[in-house]
Amino acid sequence: MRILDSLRRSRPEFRRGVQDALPIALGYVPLGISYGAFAVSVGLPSEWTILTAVFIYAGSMEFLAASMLVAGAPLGQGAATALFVNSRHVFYGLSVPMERVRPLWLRIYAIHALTDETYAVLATKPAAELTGPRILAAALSAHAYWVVGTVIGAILAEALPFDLSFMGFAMTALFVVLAIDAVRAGREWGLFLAAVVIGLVGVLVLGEWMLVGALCAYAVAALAVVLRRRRRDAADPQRRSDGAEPCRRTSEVDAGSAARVPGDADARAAALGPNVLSARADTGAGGAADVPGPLADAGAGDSADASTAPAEAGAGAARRADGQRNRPGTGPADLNERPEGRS
Amino acid sequence: MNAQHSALLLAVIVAVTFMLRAAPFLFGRWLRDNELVRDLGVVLPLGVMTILAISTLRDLEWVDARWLPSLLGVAVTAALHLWRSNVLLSLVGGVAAYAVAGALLT
Repeated sequence: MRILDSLRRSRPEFRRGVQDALPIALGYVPLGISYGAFAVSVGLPSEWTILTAVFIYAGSMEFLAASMLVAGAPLGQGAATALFVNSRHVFYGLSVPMERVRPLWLRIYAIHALTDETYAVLATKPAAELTGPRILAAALSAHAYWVVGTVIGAILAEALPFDLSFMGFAMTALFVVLAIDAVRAGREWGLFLAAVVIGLVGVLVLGEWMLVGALCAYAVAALAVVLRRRRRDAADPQRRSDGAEPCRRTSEVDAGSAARVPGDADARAAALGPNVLSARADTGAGGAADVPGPLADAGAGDSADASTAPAEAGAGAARRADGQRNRPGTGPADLNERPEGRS
Repeated sequence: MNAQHSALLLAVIVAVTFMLRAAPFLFGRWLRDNELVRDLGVVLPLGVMTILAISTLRDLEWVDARWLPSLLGVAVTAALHLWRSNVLLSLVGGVAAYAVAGALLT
């Protein structure tokens, strides 16, 4: 077994990866338990619950998938929902050097296991220190925590003698929490109001297809807003730094200047960090979702660092993410962006 | 639950989720350079999450006080989260409020 051999050789790195993922356990085990209990309480058999935890492995999507599986939702609805709910994942791979995970099938696994939390843990380590085995170990152990939590929750829900259907409310509560985090991070009150109106109209008019219809309508509205802002910025470059949208604009400018610094691929990838991270901060939502208390609090502890952060993001998830990213020595990003972006 | 349909549905969700996670390794440069994609990544989540929250409440019944537990649960969840920003606390508090209100009503 060549693979086992190379695993044995890389044992110290593997162990570091397991250690990297330890904080994730604090979030994943309890939330996994609530997902397992939720899925079984809405009528999803335990074996299907475990399948979703292993193969979807994306917190909020699993809650939705459990309900959709029980209801036998149309395939198109499943695809569209997954597309919208998990779209934030598109940004995560940009800052994790997955090409170091070998062979290919293990890399494919590691990409599958790149969740909000794995990303948060890996993207805040110096890119140069991230070896293949370390990435793989962090991904594997985080996945294990999630699945173990789910199994415990499913067993509890099967074993407890009383009606657990109230657990179904956990999904509503989860999305309320995520929405609050996202609104606080981006301070996009107008878009939030638009989403509420679109959602309510969708409920009244669209019935079964409310979710997909309302999500598409919101995507169109968001696209229109983004396009209008870009036109406005192009017409009046002054506004780009007028602080109207401090978090977004400043980090965009910073990342832009940092990315132009010549250097090797890693430095460029790392220079992208703050930018991607602020996307995550605002996307933060998803992240915070799957990191209940402990990890989030640990992050908030770093918020002192945020005062030195180029992106002046003040609130919620943004504070956490920026605090982590801009900790001294997180990589070449710091070297590149400080002089360029701040002076 | 129809096992065949469930398997297909699960496969579709897994495939879409994996494609999204793999996209940066296939289109990394394009994603990185495309400011429109980045800007959308900033404004999409808050609307998606808000609409998801509303969609979970779409079967709310407006007779008697059957709407009360859900709306109370949302209020408690939101209040706890605005206060402490602790995801687990907000979830447990919100679900507890929902469960207690539901039990008292029946």
